[in-house]
Amino acid sequence: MVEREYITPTNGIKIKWGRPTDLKELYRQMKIWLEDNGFAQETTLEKKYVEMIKPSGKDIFILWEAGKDVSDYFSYKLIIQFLLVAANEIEVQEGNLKRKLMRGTLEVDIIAYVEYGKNWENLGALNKIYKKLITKSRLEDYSKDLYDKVYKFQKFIKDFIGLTA
Amino acid sequence: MITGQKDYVTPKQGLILKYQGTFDLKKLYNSSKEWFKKNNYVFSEKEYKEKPVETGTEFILKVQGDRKIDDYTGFNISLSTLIRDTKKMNGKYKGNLHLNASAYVLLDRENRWQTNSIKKFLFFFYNNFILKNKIINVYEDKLYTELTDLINNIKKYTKLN
Repeated sequence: MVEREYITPTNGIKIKWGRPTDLKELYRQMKIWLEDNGFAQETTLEKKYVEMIKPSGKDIFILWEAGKDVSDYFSYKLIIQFLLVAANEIEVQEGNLKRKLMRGTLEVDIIAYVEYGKNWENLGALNKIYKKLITKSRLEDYSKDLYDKVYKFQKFIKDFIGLTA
Repeated sequence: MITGQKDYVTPKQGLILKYQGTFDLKKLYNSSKEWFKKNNYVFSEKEYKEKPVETGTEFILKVQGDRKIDDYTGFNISLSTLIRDTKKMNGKYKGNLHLNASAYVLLDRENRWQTNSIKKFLFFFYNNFILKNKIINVYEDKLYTELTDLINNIKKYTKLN
């Protein structure tokens, strides 16, 4: 039986901001971070991309599902949701450069958990006892590792967009 | 009488702190985070919002800390901060801060006694007749002391007294 140990609150950790953002670059940098840390591959990351054009601007919803197997028994899972509401493209002069940024309210939700118990049904009785005995301490170690990674990722996003705290 | 898994040591709406003036938001945030770490709480940032509006920047910061006491009991402290009309002045921020702090002792933290009505009755009996003294005189006191310490820590970075 596959079980989950949530690292974040079950509805995720949320970052919301309303300043103009280079969304394309943020999207690219986040993708690179996930790839560099072994959580995603170029082709399998994006599960959903919805764009709606409204009088107030564009609404964009993006869903990413990332993860990696850390052993035969444990894997890390990350679900990342972007929701951009009432987005409009604006041009900003930065020194000699003109940059196109998106203005709107952007929300990024990150849900993370350790999934364990894969292939449990195929294990023999002795193996099951052994797994049960070692699972608890291993789960704590993996949870701590994923927790550190998730908050590094969150800090990376906050630093990129220049949030205060 | 202890009913349910959450035994609040604060009023349900939480303790409310209001402050208008200058504060160092970065230090306030980092010191709270450090406090949770130092006191063996698992820190989670549930929400961080930063949005400029006409009157200044609006911040919403919701954090919580969970601490495992044993397989049955845990502590939870939640802080919900709303800062409005914030303006940056000499590296510090000036604005209206509204902080809501709540804390509870979490019983049966692994949800083992919630699956059927017999187990739920045993859960109620255990909390109210066997463990009650410990919950009230040890856990609640300890959690309340820790919450007070955290609030004092927050007060250091504002001029609240």
